[in-house]
Amino acid sequence: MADINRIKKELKDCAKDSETSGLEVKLVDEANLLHWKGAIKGPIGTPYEGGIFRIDIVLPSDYPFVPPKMKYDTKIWHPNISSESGAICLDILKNEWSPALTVRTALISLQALMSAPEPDDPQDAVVAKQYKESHDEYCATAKFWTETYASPKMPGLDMLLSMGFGEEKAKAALLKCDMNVDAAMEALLSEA
Amino acid sequence: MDRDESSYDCSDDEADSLEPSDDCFDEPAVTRHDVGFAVLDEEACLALASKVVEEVSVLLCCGAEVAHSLLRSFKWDRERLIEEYMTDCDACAKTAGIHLGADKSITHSPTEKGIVRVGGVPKTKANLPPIQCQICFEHSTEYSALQCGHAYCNACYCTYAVSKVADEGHGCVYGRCPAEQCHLVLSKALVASLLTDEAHRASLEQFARASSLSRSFVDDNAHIKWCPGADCGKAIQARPGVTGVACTCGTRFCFKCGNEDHSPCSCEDLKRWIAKCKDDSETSNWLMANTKACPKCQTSIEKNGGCNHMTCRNGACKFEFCWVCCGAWKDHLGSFYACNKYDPRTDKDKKKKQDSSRAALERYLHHYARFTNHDNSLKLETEAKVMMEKKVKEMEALGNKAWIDCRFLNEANEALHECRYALKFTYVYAFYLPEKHNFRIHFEMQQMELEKQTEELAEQLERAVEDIDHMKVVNCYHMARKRKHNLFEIVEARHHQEDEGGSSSG
Ligand SMILES: [Zn+2]
Ligand SMILES: [Zn+2]
Ligand SMILES: [Zn+2]
Ligand SMILES: [Zn+2]
Repeated sequence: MADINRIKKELKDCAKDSETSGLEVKLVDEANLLHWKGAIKGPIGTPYEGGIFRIDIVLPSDYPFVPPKMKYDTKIWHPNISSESGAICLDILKNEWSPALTVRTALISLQALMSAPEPDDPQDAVVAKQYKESHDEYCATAKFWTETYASPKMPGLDMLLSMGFGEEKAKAALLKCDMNVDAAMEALLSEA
Repeated sequence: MDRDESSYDCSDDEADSLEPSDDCFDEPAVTRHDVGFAVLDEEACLALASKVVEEVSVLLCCGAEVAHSLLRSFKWDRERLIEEYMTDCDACAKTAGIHLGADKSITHSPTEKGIVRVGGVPKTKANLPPIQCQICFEHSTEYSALQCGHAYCNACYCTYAVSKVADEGHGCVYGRCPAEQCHLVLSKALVASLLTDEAHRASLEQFARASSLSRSFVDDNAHIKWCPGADCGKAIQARPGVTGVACTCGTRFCFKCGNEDHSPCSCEDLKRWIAKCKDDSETSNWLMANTKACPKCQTSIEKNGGCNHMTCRNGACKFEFCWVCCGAWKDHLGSFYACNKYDPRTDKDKKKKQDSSRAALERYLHHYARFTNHDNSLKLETEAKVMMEKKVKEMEALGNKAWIDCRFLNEANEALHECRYALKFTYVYAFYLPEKHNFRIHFEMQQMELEKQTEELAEQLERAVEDIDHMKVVNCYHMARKRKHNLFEIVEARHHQEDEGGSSSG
């Protein structure tokens, strides 16, 4: 039912300018055109700067006449994104979707949302409250989360991942041990 | 426009002040409850809607469909639309989803093969330059666009329109052009030109229904509502502030809250009343605290006074038992009040609490019993009314002379229905009146008068047709209506007083 040709073209278009756009998409499994993974660079000048945020993208069978299903795989501290589940509150992913929009435009909107949160239409009430009432605290937390969960370069992370530890756990352990890989490994092993 | 209106207002005021005020004073008050709303069938809705659409399209120099869209987005408030359109037509056009600039629409004619209309002008299809559809990303020469000119291939546009109808139901009329940020709503012409396939017939019909003038005139109009009567299909148009309305099908309902007509009681009081009756826990608590089933024959027995020695009121049973433990009373003899469950302290507390809540409960039960009573009568009389109307009709059709003049019975039945309806809710109204208040005394007097007159009318109408006294019945129902009118009038006067009192103090 889904428009295979359009989806292929969308994938190609995304690949064209990934250097400049700060956006990247790839298929999870080459055989399945309906499940993508996207990545957004945290916008400069925001607490998300320096982070890479991974997005899970599922195209429903009626796509593009219904919106793609998107959620953050990377944990993020943002008023419009659930800090628990990564669910996103964005109008164009709901009733404002139009078939003339694409996954790419949706990702661009997400980038814009990261630059300019809308705390009056929150997905995460705790974050939204903090954003409005103690903005400095919000910035600090968002930055800390970016460093903890979205940092692309964590020395030693690849090694821990290759040993089979989960990404989130490995990052948390590294952070706890001041980026000391050996200490982090020991901590992870003692946990397991 | 402003000048016109103000000059009309002035002349009206002057005319009023010149009239002798006392003899025209009562007139509008008498009819206040009876007019103030009108029953419209589909034809009437269409006629009224078309008239407004035409007026607006002449005034704003636009087509009928544009006028309709504008009116719909302004909830058919013609005055507000015109005012805001004059101030900022672009903003109005944007919210209504209409296009004010040059017409760049492209539609394929479903009837003429090879013809395409560009901005309404027919052209041969071969002259269309190919475009890339921004939905399927394919190049195509078979495409359509709304007046904005945002073109999509026909296959994609068709799927889009069908999905709007399927997902949004009546809201499909607010479906917009797929282009990002474009506010234009789908036009009837475009949808009709796209959904030509037999498979899309149901969707096309649904779209047509949703965008039909008469439907939108009722659905999107603050002053018109569908009659909630089963399979009625008529609509009621009411003036602002009107609550109780009656459809020609016999359904009476409140225009404001949608419940059955509950005048003279307010929507808020009705809501409280319904909630109260629903969790009539109060009643059941009282019954639980004050009655017990006889342990032998299960007849429920109310405790009266403090004595725990109960005797079943069922004459055939007359079992004597202890209120506290439900054991046979004869086992308690000798050891007076020595029932092991009895605790005089808790009983005392309970009794005190019971006494105050009992008064409140008795008050509730008093009103509730009468409310229910009238409700029951209403049901029976409605059946009788339907039968009577049928019979009068039959006899008339047969040319039976004796029945020709019986049409007054229909009117009498109608009056009985009205009064009964009102009476039922006077008990809700009275329940929420302050306890010791002069108005309450006044109200209850009028209520009693209405009740007497209504019962008399009911009695007259219960007689066999040949025993009915024409003059008496006519007299009776006129009186009953008058009583109802008087009652409503004092309620209204009190509201006015309260409103004035409220605004001056606040
Ligand atoms: Zn297309
Ligand atoms: Zn458009
Ligand atoms: Zn009706
Ligand atoms: Zn109401």
